[in-house]
Formats: sequence, structure tokens, C-alpha cells
Amino acid sequence: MVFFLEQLLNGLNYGLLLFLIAAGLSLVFGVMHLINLAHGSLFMVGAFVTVGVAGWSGSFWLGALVGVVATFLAGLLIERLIVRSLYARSHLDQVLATFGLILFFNELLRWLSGGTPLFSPTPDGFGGAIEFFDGFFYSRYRLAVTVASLVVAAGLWFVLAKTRAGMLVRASASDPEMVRHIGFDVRLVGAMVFAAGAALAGLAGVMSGPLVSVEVGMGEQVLIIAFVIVVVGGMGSIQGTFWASLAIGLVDTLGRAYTPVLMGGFFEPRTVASVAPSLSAVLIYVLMAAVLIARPQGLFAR
Amino acid sequence: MLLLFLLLAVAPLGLEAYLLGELTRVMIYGMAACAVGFAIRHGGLVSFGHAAFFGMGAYCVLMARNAGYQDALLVWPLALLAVAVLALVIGLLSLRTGGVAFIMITLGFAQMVYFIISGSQSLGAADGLPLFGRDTLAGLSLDAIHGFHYLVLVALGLVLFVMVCLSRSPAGLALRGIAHDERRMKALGYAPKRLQLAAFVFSAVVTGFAGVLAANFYQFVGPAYLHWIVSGELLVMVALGGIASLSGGLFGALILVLFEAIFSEYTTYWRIFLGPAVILSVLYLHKGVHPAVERLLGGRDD
Amino acid sequence: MTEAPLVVRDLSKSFGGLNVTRSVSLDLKPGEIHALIGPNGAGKSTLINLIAGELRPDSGAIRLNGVDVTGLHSEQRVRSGLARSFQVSSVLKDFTVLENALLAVVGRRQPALNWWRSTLSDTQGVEEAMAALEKVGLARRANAKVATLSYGERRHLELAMALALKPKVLLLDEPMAGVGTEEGHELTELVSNLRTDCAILLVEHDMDVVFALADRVSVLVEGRMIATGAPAEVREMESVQHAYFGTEDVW
Ligand SMILES: Nc1ncnc2c1ncn2[C@@H]1O[C@H](COP(=O)(O)OP(=O)(O)O)[C@@H](O)[C@H]1O
Ligand SMILES: [Mg+2]
Repeated sequence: MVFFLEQLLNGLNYGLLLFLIAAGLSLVFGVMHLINLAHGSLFMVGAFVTVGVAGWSGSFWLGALVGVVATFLAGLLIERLIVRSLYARSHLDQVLATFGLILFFNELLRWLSGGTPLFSPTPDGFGGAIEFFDGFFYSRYRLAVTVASLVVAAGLWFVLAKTRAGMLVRASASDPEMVRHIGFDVRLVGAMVFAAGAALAGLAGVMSGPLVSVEVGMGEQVLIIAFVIVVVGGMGSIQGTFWASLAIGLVDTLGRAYTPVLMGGFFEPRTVASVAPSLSAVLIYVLMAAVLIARPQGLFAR
Repeated sequence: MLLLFLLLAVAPLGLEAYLLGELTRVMIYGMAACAVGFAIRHGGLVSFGHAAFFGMGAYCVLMARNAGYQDALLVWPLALLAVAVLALVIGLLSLRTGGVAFIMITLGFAQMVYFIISGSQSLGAADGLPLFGRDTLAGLSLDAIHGFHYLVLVALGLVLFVMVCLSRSPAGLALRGIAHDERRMKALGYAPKRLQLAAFVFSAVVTGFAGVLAANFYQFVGPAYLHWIVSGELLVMVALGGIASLSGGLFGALILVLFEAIFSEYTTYWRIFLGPAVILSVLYLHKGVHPAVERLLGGRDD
Repeated sequence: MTEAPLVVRDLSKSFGGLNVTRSVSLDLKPGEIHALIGPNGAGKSTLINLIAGELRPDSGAIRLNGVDVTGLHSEQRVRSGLARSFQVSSVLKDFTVLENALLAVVGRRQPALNWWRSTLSDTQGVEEAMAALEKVGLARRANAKVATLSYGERRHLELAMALALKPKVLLLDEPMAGVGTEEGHELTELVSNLRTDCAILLVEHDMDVVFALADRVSVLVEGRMIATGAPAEVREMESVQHAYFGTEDVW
């Protein structure tokens, strides 16, 4: 029971982090019809910058701040220099150019970091675990990340649903002509969405730092999962992205926790030990296949 | 085109083994890249999952070796059959939606194949396994690079010949039409999905063939074959070589290998230059480097 | 007696809350040219798309030569003898004129699609394609790339492709849109000659053309079919004049 609760919280935590990444991807696609492979790189950059600055200054919080700001600025810069010329291009061109960005960022960080994984310390005051009830301990830092992600997700929802800026973003997605008509610069909206998406991915990277090893290639792991989320949730539907993120986070986490247990009932321990890890790793892709069969346009597409 | 083939044919006479090997490698990756380009030209299918087929071909060689089979005449056709089945399944699922989702879904399924195979202990898991010598061809040894070079050359010629025929056939013409305007082709009575699936499977099988050859070339099989970055690099080759011609991928492979040879002289982190080069070529050389060079030389691009 | 080549019954379609097609019924008699007129945004293109199978109706039925095709995909309808042209010219620009026509010829012969022999070595196919091009006067440009054609020539090619499908029912969505008077006359002449081959549903704005060609006219206003009849009759109907033309006489 305690194990289940812990895994459930872990899954939620993972799902919310995934949402921060997938949200930017989905918005950029919805508003600008751009497929951005380099989105995962921004996640990676966020994590690396935080570790770097935290290590240099001794303060996780300064690292976190710099990490988010840096990814936001990187997003602006990338949009201005490269992505802007890609909106009108084929998806193939978009894929290629943003793949070029991945190569660049990966190699740059491999060079700077020397290629070894880095470990980010947990920020002061968030170490250890808290006791929810008798015998149920949960990592204080994970809990904080979960809460923070929830707050950011709620904030994103609020901005999109309730503010003028959000209305403009939604209008740019559905009817850019109209937005131009009422005197707004759709390109500016696009740039802001792109940079905000970058900062969200960066924030996810910042928060993930202490939870995973910070290494080159971490961006593409989450990028591919974010793609699965977008496909499962439905292209361009932010609500779909949210629920799909949670679903994928839970399926992956619970799958990894319970596949060995479930298999243990049927197979020898040695078989379980060798098959279970890869079996649980493919669960989310099986989920994607199932969605494609049942509802190819995604669970939440209109 | 003919000139290149002539060069490849006389190369073994003059080159030392290492350089000859590089050329053989160009042909192998070129074959895979041509296949990726074929699916783009014929059916408009931008696949970011061809690493799965490349790797599947390679791993089939390993599996056959594990089972004690080593002759190309038996092993290779079976390998291609296995790749075809895999491609059929992935293609059926990925083609259920259109457009950008196809890119994301093929990437997702390729990642799934990566996890399954790289998690298998008998296939060397994350480390891969050496092959200890190449497959034999009807009992003939292919271990000398010269013989293998010619074999690959013949295979490449054959593949390109088949591609030309397919491209000129009514089905190929229809597929090119689908790449341009799917709706239009439906109005002419074509069922795009069926044709696209056929093109996808063909493209995958050729890529798998390249994987089979690659496994024999390196005499080693490992997860690197299946890594998503292979899919990206194949697309880069297509773009560098230009999608306008069937053999574009071959030139792209040549360019990429030359690029690596030149820049890895200066730094191990040569991809830091490749990324920006790819971006620049996408932004400024619409049809790839090779057509641009031909235009400079006053040739025609087709 | 056999049923009309095309029968449309109570077809309805809405996009979100917008009812674009409201319970539309229509018959196309053998060998007739049936003009579909109506103001911009009346839902004419939508109706064509519904009949062609590119859109799914919310309700209603479509029958082609007595066979219910409501549930069929557009490509299946093509093989049952339906062809269409697009309002915005959509011939394939990177191909030659002949290749475009060949695509149509081959499309009709599906599903026995050849994967191996060169398309151009299929003499019978090439002949058929050339015949279609001949009909629209494009035979001499057969080997030109479509990108080098004038807009009017592309509209001709669009027609040739529809013809190469040898349809029983032909849907033409503003085939003369955007061409000059000279070419307009040519196209009008052309369409008039097609009458013997197939029944035609023609969306057209130019009333002179409608008058020159149409055996019957239907009027679509805000998704509703408000009148059908001989051109002269329809013109006189008060409801039509009111709904469509206001009070002004634009004829
Ligand atoms: N896919 C669609 N989604 C939403 N509205 C549409 C769509 N297609 C057409 N409409 C609307 O339906 C109405 C009729 O359009 P259309 O059939 O093109 O008219 P016509 O061809 O008579 O000018 C227009 O108001 C148009 O905005
Ligand atoms: Mg219209």
C-alpha cells in the first residue's frame, strides 16, 4: 500500500514534469504549426545551466533562476535566428533544422561538461523525506517539484483561458488572419509562445536536475516521450496534452514498479530480471499504439 | 551519377584499405539514405524511425549468427523479411493519422524497438556483440574489404535500378502525386494509404538491407544502429544530397563522411560544426548541397 | 426505368454550429448540364465536396447510378464513375502535362496498379491520356511541365484529367474562375461538348455561361436549395430574385 502510494506520487510527479515539456511543444505546434525537435535540448540546457551555476556559486536557487532565464533567452534567440524562417517551410525542413540544433547543443554540452554525467545537489531545506502518516515517507524535494509543477500548470491554464494574452494565443492558433486584422503581430505572439515554451522546458530541466543524472542525451529521451504525449493527447490540444502527460507519467512509473512484481507470479526470477526492464520501457509505446488503433486523431482532439 | 559509380568501381585498385572502407561505408549509408529519400519523394512520408529498420537488419545478422547461420543467401533474405514485417506493423499504425504526427509516431516506435532489442541479454544488451568475420556468400568469404566493396557496389546499383523502375511505374507516379497533393490524388481514384504503406515497407526493407551490410562491414552489432540519431543522420544525408533525385542520399552520405573526415581532424566534437552546417543548408540551399554544386558547374539538376 | 446517374437526398452538413448544407436534394439526369448557382458562401463547394466524398454528411444519402455511395471514400466513388474538378486549380505542378493526364488514366484502372513497367511504355495508357488532352486542345503541350502553363491552360488540364477518368457524372466547381473572356469562351464550348459523355453538375458564377450551357438550374442560398428548373423559369421566380439578386435585375 505504501509502495503503491509512493509510486503513484512518483508517477504524478513525472507526469507533471512531462507536461511542462510537452505543453511548449504542443503550443508551438498549435500556434505556428512548427515541429521543434530541439525542444528537448532546452530541457537539457536548463538542467546543465542550473548545475553549472549552482556548482560555481554554491546556490541552487541562483542556478535555477539563471537556468530558466537562460532557456527563455535561448528560446527568443533561436526563434529569431532560425525558427522564424521555418514557419513557412515544409515539416521536413523544420525537422532537419531543429535536428541540426540538437547536434549543436549536444556536442556543445558534451564539450563543456567533458561528457561525464553531472549530479545536482538537492536544494537546501528540501533534502530528506517527510512523514505523511505512520510509516509513509516521501521525498521532500519530489513533493515540492510536484506542487511547483501543479502551480505552473494551473498558471498556464489561467493565462491561456482567462487573460487577453491567452486569448490572443488561442486566436492565433485558430484564426491568424483575424488576429492580424485586429492589429496584432502574429509573429510576435509566435515568438513569445516559443520563448515561453522554451522556458517551461527549461524549468522542467531545472527541477529534474536533482532527480536524474544530468547528461547529454537527456533532452531527446524526454523529447520522444513528449511526442508520444502529443500524439496520445491529440495534436494542438493543450488539455489533451495535460491528461496524456499524466497518463504517460503514471503508466511509465507504475509499469516500471509493477511489471517485475506481476511477472514474478508467472516466470522465473531470472527471466523477470532480464525481460521486465525492457518490457516496462515499452509500455508507453504500446499505449500509443492502442490510441492510434482506437482513436488515431488522439484522445482529446476535436 | 555514372561518374560516381565509375569512381567507386575503380577505387579498390588504387586505395589503401582504410580509405576504401570509408567509401564502402558511404555506399552503405547512402543506400539507407536513398531509401529514406524514396519514401519522402514517393508518398511524402518523412520517417524519423528508419533507425529501427537499419538496426533490425543488423541485428538479424547477429541473431542468425547466434543460431549458427552465416551464409548471405539464407540469412539476408530472412533478415529483409523480418524488416518487412516490422515495417508493415509500424507503417499500418503510423499511417492512421497523417502529417506531422507521422514523424513523431515513427520516432516513437523506433524508440520502442531500441528498448526491446537493447534490453535483450542474448543480443549483447547495451554493449552489443562482435560478429567475428563477415557472412559468406554461397560459401565465398567476404572478409577481404575489396570483395566486400564490390558486393556493396553491386547491391547499391541494384537497389537504385529498382528504385528507378518503381519511380517510373504507374504506382511510382501515383506516389509522387500523393507526395504533392494527397487530396488531388484521391479525386483521381487513388487510395493513398495503401500505396504509401507499400512505399514505406519498400523503403524500410532497403534500409534494412543497408543495416545487414553495415553489420557485416563493421563486424559488430550494437544498439548504436538503432539509435534515433541514425534516423536523423539519414534525413540529413537526404537533405544534403537533395530530395529531387533518387540518388541524392548517396551524395549526402558522401558529403557527410567527407565533412566528418575534415572536421574530426581538428576536434573530436566535430558535430558542433555539423549542426550549424545542416541548419544553414536547410535555410539557404533549398535543394541540398549536391544540386547546388551541379548548378555551379553548369550541370542540370535531376 | 433506371435511376438518374446522380441522386442526392436530404443532405445536411454543419461545421460546428454553422449549418452549411441544409437538407439539400438534387437529381442529375443523363446527359444534362445542371448548373448550381448561389451567392458566395452559399455552400456550393461544400455540396460538391459532400457529393465527391471529401466530406462526410451529417445525414442524407447520395446515390450514383442507383448505388448508395454515402459511406464510400472519395477514391471509391471515383471508381464508381464520379469525377470532379477543383475550384482552385490543383494540377500537379512539378509533373508534365502528359503525366498529369496519365495519372488520371491510371487512377481509373485501379486497383491493378503496375509497380514495375514504365508508365510511358504503356502505349494504351498514353494514347488515352493524349486523347483526353486532345479534347481540351493541350496535346501539343503534352511534354511541357505544368509549372510553365498559363493559368487558363491549367484549367484546361484540370478538365482533361476529369475526362480521362471517363466519368458518368462530372462535378465542375467554377471551371472558368479566373480565366480571361477568350479562354472562358473556349472552356464553355468544351463543357458544352462533354454533354454527350456524362451528366454534369456545374457550379458557375457567370450568368451568361449558365444560360449558354445549362439545361436546368438549381439555386442554393444559405445552404438551402430554394429552386430548381429550366433557366428561364428559375430566373422568373420571385423567391430566387429576392433571395439571390435582391431587387436588382442582374441578368
Ligand atoms: N471546413 C470548413 N469548416 C468550417 N466552415 C466551413 C468549412 N468549409 C466551408 N465552410 C463555410 O461554409 C460556408 C460555405 O462555403 P462554400 O461551400 O465554400 O461556399 P461557396 O462555394 O458557395 O462559396 C462558408 O461560410 C464557409 O466559411
Ligand atoms: Mg466555392
